[in-house]
Amino acid sequence: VQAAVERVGEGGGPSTFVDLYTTAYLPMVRLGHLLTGSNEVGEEVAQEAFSAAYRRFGTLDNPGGYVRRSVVNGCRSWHRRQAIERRVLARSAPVAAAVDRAPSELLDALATLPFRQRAALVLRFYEDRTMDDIAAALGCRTGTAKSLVSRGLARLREVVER
Amino acid sequence: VTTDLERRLHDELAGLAATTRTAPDALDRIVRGAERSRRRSRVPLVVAAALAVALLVAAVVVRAGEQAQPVVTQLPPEPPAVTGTVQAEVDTIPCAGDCLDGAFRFPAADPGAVDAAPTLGEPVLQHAEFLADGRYFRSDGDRVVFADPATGAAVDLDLDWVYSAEVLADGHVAVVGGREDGPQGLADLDPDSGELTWRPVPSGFYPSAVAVGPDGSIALLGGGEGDCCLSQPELVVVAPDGSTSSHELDDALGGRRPFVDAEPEISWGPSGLVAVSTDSPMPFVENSPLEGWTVVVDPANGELVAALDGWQGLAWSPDGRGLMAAGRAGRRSSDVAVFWGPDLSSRIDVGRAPLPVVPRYWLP
Repeated sequence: VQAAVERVGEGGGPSTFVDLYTTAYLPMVRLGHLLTGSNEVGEEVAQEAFSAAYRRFGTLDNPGGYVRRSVVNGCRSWHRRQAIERRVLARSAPVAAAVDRAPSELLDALATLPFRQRAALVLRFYEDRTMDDIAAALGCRTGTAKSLVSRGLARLREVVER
Repeated sequence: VTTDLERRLHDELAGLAATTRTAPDALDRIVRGAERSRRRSRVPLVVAAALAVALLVAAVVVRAGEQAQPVVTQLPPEPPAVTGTVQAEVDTIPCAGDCLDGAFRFPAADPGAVDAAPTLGEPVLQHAEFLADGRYFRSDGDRVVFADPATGAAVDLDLDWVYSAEVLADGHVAVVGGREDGPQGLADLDPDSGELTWRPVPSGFYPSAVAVGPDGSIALLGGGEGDCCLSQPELVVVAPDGSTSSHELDDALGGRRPFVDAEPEISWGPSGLVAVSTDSPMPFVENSPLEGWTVVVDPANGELVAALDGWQGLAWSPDGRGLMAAGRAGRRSSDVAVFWGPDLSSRIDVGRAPLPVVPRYWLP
């Protein structure tokens, strides 16, 4: 493993895979945690995203943006799988979501939002991303990202002011 | 202005994020996972290479005996008539933050004859998708409205977004769109009542663009579950009897992996071939100096017929002999040309539009 890391890390400077891992891994696990509600799932998704980044590291001109997009897509896929599982098993709650945090009216409400709204809010208000960044991570237009944020906030406001 | 709710949301998210823990051997797991995946991907390559050799041998044997069938359909060798009208779309009207959509028409032989502002439908629209007859879908950030500028009629739809739409032979409209908290994918829209009937698509496939073929089949361009977390470009054809066939487009796209999740285009020409224009290349991946690709494929098998690197727009000529496209430099494309010939290698430069265009429909 060490030899492989060194191979990918050749070239020095801030653009090595180890640099990417050191600076971005924990933030991406946190992002996955916030998007899925599970630390464990967040780390699994982040590891997949970093494995994909490792395989094509030499071709990435923005490795940080690439792994963020991958983590968001990975979390979206996880939510889709959960939805299918719930339908099949006729369960009412996700298996792994929302099991490892203290109760919070606001985060409970966030967890009920459609995935794209939830992701837009997390990227905007936790990661402090611009609308362009959010659009790139979600694969949508900037205007769509704006409306996802504003509609997500409106839904949250309805819940907390109820 | 940051509201109390936004501040509270930030604080609670930061509080939850502070509890996140990572495994001490994460880097090891990442590298081992990547190496395992790399080894797995080599096995199919070996099998593919063996198959290719076998097919080559078989092709030589067939050719020596009787005449082999062509692998892919080709376009006619005659140039198209550059007459009629082209409807184009624009999504890069200069704007501060918001990109606005519009559509307009110009004579096929003179793209410079268009006004500098879109003249079809409303002056500027957000998140709009136009049909060839001028009707359009728009979103005001809430639900989608289907509007007819000729009559002023507007129908509210039970949709949060529409990515793509095209008129079906029975007057209904094939729509690719969805709801945040409901169904997403392909729907059949009754334009009078606004009623939507969702149609099945293969599991794990997320369509972004739709086109209707001469025989009533529907072609969908979209992403399947791909390599880890990035979409696999796929063409799905829904036959009139409802059966579906899927073709991965990796080979047709030369192994590049552009976005097909946001604003790709697709059009099924009178010749029976399907043209696909991807989103810009995947952001963050430096795999081509060009932005946006148009490829023409045979919908029967997904095989590449022709590629127009650096060009986009999918207006087939009414006689089916050529494809109008606009050059793409950055996000601005205003040079318009018509490509024709069996592999679309012949080109007629028809002029420059005064603003970036995406030719969509070429009307007689």
